[in-house]
Amino acid sequence: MAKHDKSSLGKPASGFKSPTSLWIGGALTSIFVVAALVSFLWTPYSVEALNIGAKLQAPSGTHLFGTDHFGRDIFSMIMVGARVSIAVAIVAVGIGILVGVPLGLLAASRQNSFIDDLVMRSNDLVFAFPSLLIAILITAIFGTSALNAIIAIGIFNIPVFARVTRGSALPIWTLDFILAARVAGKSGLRISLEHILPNILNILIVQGTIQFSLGILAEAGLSYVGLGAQPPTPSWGRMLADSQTMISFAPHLAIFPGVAIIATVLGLNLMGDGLRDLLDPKLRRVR
Amino acid sequence: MLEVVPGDPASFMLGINAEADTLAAMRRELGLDQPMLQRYLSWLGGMLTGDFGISYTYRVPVSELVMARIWISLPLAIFALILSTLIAVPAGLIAASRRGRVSDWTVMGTTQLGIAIPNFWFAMILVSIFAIKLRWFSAGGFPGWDQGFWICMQALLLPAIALALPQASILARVMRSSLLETLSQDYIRTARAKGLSQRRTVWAHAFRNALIPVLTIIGLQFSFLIAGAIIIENVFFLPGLGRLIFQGITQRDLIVVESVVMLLVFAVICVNFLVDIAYALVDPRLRRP
Amino acid sequence: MNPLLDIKNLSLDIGGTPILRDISLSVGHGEICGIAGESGSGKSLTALSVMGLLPMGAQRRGVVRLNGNDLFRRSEAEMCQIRGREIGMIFQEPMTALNPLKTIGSQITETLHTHSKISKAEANEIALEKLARVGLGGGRISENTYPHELSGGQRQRVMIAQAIAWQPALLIADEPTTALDVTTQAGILELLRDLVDNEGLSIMLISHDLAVLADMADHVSIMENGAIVEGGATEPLFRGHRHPYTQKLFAAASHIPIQPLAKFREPLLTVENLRISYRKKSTKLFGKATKFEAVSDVSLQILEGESVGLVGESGCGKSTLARAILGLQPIDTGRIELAGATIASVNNPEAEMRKGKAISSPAGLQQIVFQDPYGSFNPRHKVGRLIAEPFHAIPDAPSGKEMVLRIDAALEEVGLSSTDRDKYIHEFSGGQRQRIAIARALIIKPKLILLDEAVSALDVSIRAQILDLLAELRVTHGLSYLFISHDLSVVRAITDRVLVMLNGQILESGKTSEVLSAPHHDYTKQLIAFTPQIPADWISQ
Repeated sequence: MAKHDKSSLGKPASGFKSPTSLWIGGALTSIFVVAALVSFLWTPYSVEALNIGAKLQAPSGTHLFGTDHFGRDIFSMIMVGARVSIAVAIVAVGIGILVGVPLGLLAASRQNSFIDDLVMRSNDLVFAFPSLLIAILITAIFGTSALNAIIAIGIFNIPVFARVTRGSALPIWTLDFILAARVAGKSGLRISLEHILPNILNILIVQGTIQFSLGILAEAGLSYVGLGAQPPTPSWGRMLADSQTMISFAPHLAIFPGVAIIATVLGLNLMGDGLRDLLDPKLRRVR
Repeated sequence: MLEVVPGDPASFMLGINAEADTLAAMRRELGLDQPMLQRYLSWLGGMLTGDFGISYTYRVPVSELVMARIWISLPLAIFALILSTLIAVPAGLIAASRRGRVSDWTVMGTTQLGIAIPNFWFAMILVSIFAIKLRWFSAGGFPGWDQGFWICMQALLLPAIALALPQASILARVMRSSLLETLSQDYIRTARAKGLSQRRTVWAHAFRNALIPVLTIIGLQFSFLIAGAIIIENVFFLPGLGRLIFQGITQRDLIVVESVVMLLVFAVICVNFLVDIAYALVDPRLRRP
Repeated sequence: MNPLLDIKNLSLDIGGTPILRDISLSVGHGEICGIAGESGSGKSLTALSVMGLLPMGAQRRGVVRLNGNDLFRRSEAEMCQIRGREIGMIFQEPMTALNPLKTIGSQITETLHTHSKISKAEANEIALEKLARVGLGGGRISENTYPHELSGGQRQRVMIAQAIAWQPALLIADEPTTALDVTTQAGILELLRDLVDNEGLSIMLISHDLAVLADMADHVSIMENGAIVEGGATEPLFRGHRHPYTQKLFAAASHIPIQPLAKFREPLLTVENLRISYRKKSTKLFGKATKFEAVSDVSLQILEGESVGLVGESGCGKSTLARAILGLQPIDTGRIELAGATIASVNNPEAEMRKGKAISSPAGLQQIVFQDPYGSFNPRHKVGRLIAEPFHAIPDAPSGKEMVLRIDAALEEVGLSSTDRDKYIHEFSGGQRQRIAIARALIIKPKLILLDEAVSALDVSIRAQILDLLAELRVTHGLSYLFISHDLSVVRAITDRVLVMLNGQILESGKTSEVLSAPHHDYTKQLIAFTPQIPADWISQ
């Protein structure tokens, strides 16, 4: 590449970055998805059986990631924990999309009307609280379980998707082809589905991967304070909570779950970055 | 909202085996026998005058509890925010000005990692290295402001770093992308056409314009930090607002939870207001004509 | 005497693609040198090459001398010294060319501070002087005004003030008036002329508009595809050009399609006493919303087969009127009727004000073609689907094979082929996209087509082709047109009658040829006077 030209205006003349981040991210994420799926059929060791005799072993040939204070194999626990994290995060994203996107489309199609204001104000209200707080509130009221964790995180996803949908839909509403559709007599609903949605799909996909990764972090946080999936189901967050008191002599208890979380989240974020580059909307491509 | 939580606060406080009339007496004392609306109104009125009522669990006025905790949560939040801004803004600036080169890749890579690391895990690692192994810091707890400013700051340092990590990562990325967006604007070309060097253009024109979205994020982060640092407070045994509300929820202490929530809402409104003022200071288009 | 700016054999590659080839031209002292060409011809990049402000990956060759100084051999630091001090540059889009967060005064003094250690007070004084020089002195505008408080024309004046703050010898003006209204454009051009005449400024003026160059430039170079095809002193060049491209360009600029004979029948569209107002939210914190009247008591009529032009500058209300005619805009009072069917009728203002709803347009009687060929279509749909969209408005739309036949017929009628039906819109050029837009408008055989600045964004040669197509279609299908345009030459080319609109009111109307040759209203006279024209005797038929 040419020596950095100081007189240039700082932007490349044309740009298409091959999305290496997409492949790396995809690979990382797939590892855990595969692990989660495989865990339904097989894990190296059972995660329910307690084997006090083998407790707190460092990583070795027999136990790849070592064992915990109950003698359970950490590697297997990570695999099963992947199940919980991924399931919770995916369903939560699903809730956010299924409720948030229609709300956002509705608000955008009736900009500045009462409905629009209502949607946006409720959004702001939910946003005002730290998401963790809401999640804690919900799990505290309705009980602690993976399902409630899903609902809690899902509820927080709704305003995110509503806001992103509305924000990306609004500029499209001002374009001439929407006017053409109105001249053809199409209703707001039809226009939202036929014209708006296909053109914001790429933004929604990218946001989806981001919310997915945030969901994993949120689930880990909830499990850490004891409000997520309950024992005996292993979850990465609770593994970390349990490891806290033993960290000085058994660091592997904290390191592996932590790395699992980091790797999955990192993978998803990289995928999101790569998708964003790949799906660059043609609407914005200037002649 | 919590009023409909299963689990009567009075029976919780006294233990499940309390006698029926003791329970009734307790209820009367706590005002739980009045109709809900009346209770709510009188509580709201009380709050405006600074009287948050008496916590169910602690039997101590909530305002005392809150005040004690605020002096931990607020400085922690400010500390974390300052740390995060001091790291993130220059990092984003450098990454954007040297786009595509090594420094940009480094910043992008580090921030990717920073976003992915759960802050409580990072906190645990920090504690195990700096507090347990190296013994530079204590592993948790808060000595109280009467022990001296610097001692308290030391106690807050590790938690602030743990909080600041993901915040700084997000902020740096926002700064970078905002700056890149600004650099593609027409007025940058105008500045160069007037003879300003690239460096001077970035500083005099791009930077201030790019700050606007950054301000939003800083405002959001501050709102989060005030009572959202629940987990970090847990890790470091800091008696802050987050911990208070968490305990309040798990112990069904209505008054505490509601008070802290109201306080939080108030704080968020204040922060948003401050951010709006900051916008108007930076962007003349937002000022009243 | 040596020229001020001398470009010899300038060639430019960007990312390996050749962009400019062997450009040679010169600008003398006190001269205006014009560069003409259509989009993509390389005019702007020539200017940016002189300034040294090229994108990354640009490789340039050749010699560019400013007062004998070879600019390509100068370091970046030295070029920074030259820019703003010896060469100034202004650009096309005044709305985005100024930093919105800084006062106009500080942006002018910035040029001064960059090149010297001048004191703040002195710089301020010079800034005020320059503001006055460009016609912004006094009144509400001071050095503390912000750009968003100014109009497009005023911002362009500030741009000029910035660029000439240090009295550079050369000013490069890249399409400086293209984004401005006719009246505003006239003012800016006059200012530039004044600076040349009274301060010895030289200007490199880039424009796609030959009439502007005819007015302003001492000599003109015509560019096509990155090379100069012909050049010379203005009048001789315009009178007798040789190169085929130049001939094509000139022919297109003055092209008038063959008009059908004026045989019109009944009224098709009737608009009576139309009033439309908006409530503008107050900018003050507690102020009341003000009512803004976009259309004031407008009445007009279009007969079957007639082509009527609506001329006005931005903000005059023409778009609002168009939307009301289409049935997409609620009205306050008045009546709109199309082919006997009422589109909107609100007679009693007090009673109906709040209910002033527009009834949606009677199915299939009218369609619209827009200005921007790049926002007119959903990029995710194929062309066939895009063209067929209007069928949604009529009750018995064809389907299946018959639909495909109708689509193909429409495509062929506008000069495209049926294979284009399966392509996506981004595979087509601007002119082709407008053809597709016309196909879309035509497919349900409406009676009236509204064209909202439909050819304004097109290059001159393409524009001529589209105007020809429109004229032909009018005859074939017996269509009526409502042609909205700010460009008098377009209106002259394709309309039978014209209406002149300003501030929501129709000021004048009549036969196009009559209104344009003998206008009554002062505003019309002003519009005509301010529109640059190539002198008639320069154009050979």
